[in-house]
Amino acid sequence: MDVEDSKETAASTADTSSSGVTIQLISKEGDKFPVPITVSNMSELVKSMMDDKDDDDDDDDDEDDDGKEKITEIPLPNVKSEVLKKVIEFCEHHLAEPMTEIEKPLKSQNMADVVQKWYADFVDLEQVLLFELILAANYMDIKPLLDLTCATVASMIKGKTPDEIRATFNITNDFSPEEEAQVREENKWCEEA
Amino acid sequence: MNSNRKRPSTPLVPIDDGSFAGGPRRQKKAMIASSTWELLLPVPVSIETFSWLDQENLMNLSLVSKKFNGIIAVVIRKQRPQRRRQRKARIASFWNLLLPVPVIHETISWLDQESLMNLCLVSKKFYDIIAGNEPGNKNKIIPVFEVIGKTSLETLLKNLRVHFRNKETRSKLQSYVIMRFKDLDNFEFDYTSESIMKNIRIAKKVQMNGITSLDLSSGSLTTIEPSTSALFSMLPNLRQVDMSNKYISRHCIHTELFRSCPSLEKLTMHNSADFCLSAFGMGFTSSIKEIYIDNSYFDAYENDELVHMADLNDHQDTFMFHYCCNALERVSIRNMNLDLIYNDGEQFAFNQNACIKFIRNAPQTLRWFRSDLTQENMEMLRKERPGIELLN
Repeated sequence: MDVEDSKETAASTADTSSSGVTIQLISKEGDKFPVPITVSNMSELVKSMMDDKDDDDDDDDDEDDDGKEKITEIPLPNVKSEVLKKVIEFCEHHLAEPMTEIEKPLKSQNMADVVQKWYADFVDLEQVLLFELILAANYMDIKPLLDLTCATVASMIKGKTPDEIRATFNITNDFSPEEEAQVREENKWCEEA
Repeated sequence: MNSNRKRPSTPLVPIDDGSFAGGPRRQKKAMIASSTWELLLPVPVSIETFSWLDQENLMNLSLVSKKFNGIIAVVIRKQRPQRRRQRKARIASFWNLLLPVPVIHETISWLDQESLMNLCLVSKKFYDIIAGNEPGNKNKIIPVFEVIGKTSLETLLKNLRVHFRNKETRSKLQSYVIMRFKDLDNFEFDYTSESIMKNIRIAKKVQMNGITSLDLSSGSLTTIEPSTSALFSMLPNLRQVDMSNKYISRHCIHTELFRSCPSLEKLTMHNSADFCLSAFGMGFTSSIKEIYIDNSYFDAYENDELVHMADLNDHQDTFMFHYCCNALERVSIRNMNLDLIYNDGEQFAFNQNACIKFIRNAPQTLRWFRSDLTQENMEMLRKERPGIELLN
């Protein structure tokens, strides 16, 4: 699904929304994504920006001088179109089927064991996109999405050795062997007899 | 340069006769361009030049001629590892630069202790985030003192005594919070009272004040001998102990445990045997809050005590755990079995009545109880004690 498809999907959802109020989310690239206010309100950032805009409105009138309904635009300069599309997809689905709470600590490396299948499939992504989604969830302050994406990264760490974690995330080992031994001992003393 | 001149918007496409589609002017230009590349520029130079182009331009150029197509195939092959390297570097940059520390805290909050320890060893940045004192990280590593190998309590205590003579090591040993025995099934206990007394004397000199959790559980049912009491006496600040899969050889073990560790709050003994149902021996503490003893066999200090414990009409002071129930909050005794009752019907009746009597006499602190109570009995008790969550 490309940006245009997403716009159509979002627009159709907006049309059928019970509130009827549509918000335009604007991505880093300037692409506009119309979404129902119920969807956009899942983001605490958007919600507070909307509140600020309402406060700024002197007359509280939702119509402009031509009598046309005003569509509020919310710029999200830190979120790419590709990522924003995923964010909207998540929020729309979450309204229809809320995500179950993910238990801490994770019981499994497989996300399908800890959350509904749709959400497990949703985060089956390339790492770069997954991390960008984390940043977007953090920036837009969408707690369920932040939970899901952070838990997914945790599932990629769970059960792996330090070497395997380094290989998974391309992290360089900057410990000397002595330092590594010291950290191991700090965490665990093995008394052999 | 004339800014009004527009570049062709579509790529040059060779057609069957070797000329190019797109009109005579474009064809001429293309022929010149193509022949210049093909005749004058060596292939390595072409490869270097094309390597600066993006994917879309490369695709377009590959349609210009067979030679270009071949050169571009080489360029794409060369670019693959470079792209992979770029992607990997980008992933690393998320951890190193882009992810804010609170987001990393959020991520590690989903990890269990073992994964947390492994992540701590990945890089200094992770170590600082996990083991450092940065506010916001609620999921800290709990340092573990693990005893491994086939050993005896006496050897362990002697080794600890040596460690304690070194001031630095003694200080370090106080930082461990969990004590775990990995090969307890192979642990050797000396049963002579002389040896027990000697071990207790050494244990008094190797007080591990930081240990608040002791894991004596094992995979198969083994016996806890009275000599274990020396171990308890070196852990004065113990808060929780797990002795699942353990057969208690004598009730005095509980007495020693609770006498040596008066701050004990949580006792786990699933799949165990010979647990004294009245909690005789646990009366030394008033702090025990949680007892989890599912699938275990129970015994009584006296045979009459069992009968009294299930008597709903009389002996009001005698009920399950009556020796240690002052602060109880959570109790689980699912699939309770009694050593002295062999008839299933009698066992069932005893379990129901003993649980009913316990709930009726339980302290106000009790808020969670899991047992084999029937739905009808739970409904009845919920009305009597609405503050207690009953489940099975």
